[in-house]
Amino acid sequence: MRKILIPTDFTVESLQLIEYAFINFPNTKLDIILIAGFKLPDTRWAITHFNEKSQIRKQLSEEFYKAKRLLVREHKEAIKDITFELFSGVNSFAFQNFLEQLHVEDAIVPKDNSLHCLSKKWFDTTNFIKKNVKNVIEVPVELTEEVPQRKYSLVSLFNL
Amino acid sequence: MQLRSKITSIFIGLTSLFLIGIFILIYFVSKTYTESEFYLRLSQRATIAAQAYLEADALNINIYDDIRIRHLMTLPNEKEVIYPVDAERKIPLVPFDKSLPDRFYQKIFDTKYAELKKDDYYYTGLLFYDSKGDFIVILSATDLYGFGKAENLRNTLIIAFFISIVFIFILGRVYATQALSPISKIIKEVNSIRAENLSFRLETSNSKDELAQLAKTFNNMLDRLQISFDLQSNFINNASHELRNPLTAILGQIEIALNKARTEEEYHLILKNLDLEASRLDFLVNGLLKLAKTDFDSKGFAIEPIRIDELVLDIKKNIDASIPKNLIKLDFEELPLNENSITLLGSESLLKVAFGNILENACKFSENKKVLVKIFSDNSSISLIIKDEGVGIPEKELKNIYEPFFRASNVRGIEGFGFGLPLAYRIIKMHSGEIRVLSQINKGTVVKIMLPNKNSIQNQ
Repeated sequence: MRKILIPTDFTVESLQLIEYAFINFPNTKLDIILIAGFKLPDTRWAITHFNEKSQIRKQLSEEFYKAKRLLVREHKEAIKDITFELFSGVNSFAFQNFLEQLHVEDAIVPKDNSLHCLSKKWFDTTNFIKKNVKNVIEVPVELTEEVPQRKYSLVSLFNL
Repeated sequence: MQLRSKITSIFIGLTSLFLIGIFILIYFVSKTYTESEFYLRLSQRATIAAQAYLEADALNINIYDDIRIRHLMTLPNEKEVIYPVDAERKIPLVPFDKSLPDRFYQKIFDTKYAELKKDDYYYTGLLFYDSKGDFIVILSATDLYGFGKAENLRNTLIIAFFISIVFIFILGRVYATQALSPISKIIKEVNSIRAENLSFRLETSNSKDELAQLAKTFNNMLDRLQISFDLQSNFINNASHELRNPLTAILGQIEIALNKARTEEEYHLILKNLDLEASRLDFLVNGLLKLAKTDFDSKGFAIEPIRIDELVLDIKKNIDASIPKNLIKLDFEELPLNENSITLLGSESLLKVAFGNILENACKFSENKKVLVKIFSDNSSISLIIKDEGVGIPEKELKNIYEPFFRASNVRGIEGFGFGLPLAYRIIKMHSGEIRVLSQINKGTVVKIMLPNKNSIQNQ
């Protein structure tokens, strides 16, 4: 079994990275950790009421769930688990500590292009992974240029 | 009539109806309130008049009247009349003013209080009992302030109505224009597409609204159009180019053979070479014919229900014959029992060619390493995953793999012409399917094919 770290921006396209994990590590059971960067809130109230799970859940769209379900069906024998992790640090030291907790040595990141940032709160962890993980595999992934519109926003109502 | 004007006028019609309703309600509610307030004041004045009448002997009536008129807010055109009556028998002791209707007096006798509006005048009548004899006080006045207020309110509402209609018209028009601007954009973009720029695609946004779907539908149609167009325009070009190579080889060999007299073995060798080249030519021509066949529209091939598992087993049998060393493993574990969801509608011969090509490629480019074929289906689609551990496709060339006669740079040593995958792509597109290729060099390639099954076609 191998633990693979994969950055995600909660879009269906970013799930392609998981498929590349199966190509790169055939015949092994994979424990896939999807990681996204999240800046911790700066008010005391928000920090005490911070919930990692609900933050992640808020970002997951119906399509993402669907694509993930399909992926799990396709690679049932190769998947041990798919979990989400939030990295809320600011520098490489924090990221190294984070890695120690997870015991990960392999990672798959997109080549050339970076992932979307959903809002100011979220950031892309690809660069942290490239710098700190032992075995990083860069893969060609076609990511769409357009940022997906948020589900319920006033702007999208008038932005026809 | 343009859709924009239609939307605007419907919008205006509905809002003006709504506004008229609301404004009329406001006007009448406020008018009734003003009137009832005025009647209240009238009755208060009537009470005061009755007091004055009762105590006429006790007070100096002139002084009292003077104070009352000057300080106790006399109403405009106020007039009071007092009639002594016999309340028991309900008859007046002096004749009533005939200009007022009888039922008004009758009501006063019945309920001790009555209201009446005649022209601009408001009347209230009150019945008082007294030891000296009962009497009725009728007080009349005009509500100048009330009329003024009502008129003002009416004018304000009418002006407000017209102003809001103007604003609604402008806003409605702007919004309708904005809402329909994607349609105009699509019309403009579609109009600009000609035979020369068939590769042009409409801009699609990520949203899920109807317009995005329309753009996507157009793009799909353009895909199909472009495929058949490309085939027509490039077919002869590519075919003659590819046919020339073996032909040149054949002609060269014949020329050398005819140069001088040869021994029998030499002729034998040359004929053998010729046979090799000719069979290559034959293979090429057959492939090109198949490619050309896919150019037919659905009239050109028979559509029949095909079970995906049977189809794949058939293909596997064919490949076993042509590549005996293959290591294709089939995984049907995920297949559901429901027959409709593993049945697709299409041309069996074409799909056989498509899947056969992909599977052959998987074997060929992985030097007969393990190839895994997995099939599963859900409600609306059948997915086929073909996974090999072969040489892979360089990432820069991934987007070119569907172009006819394109060959990846790392497979020069492996025989082929480069029309297997383009052909498969076209066939799958013709069946409204999707094909995706994920690949990493020297690690392997995954081909994912998704085709609609019988369920989804029936549901449409």
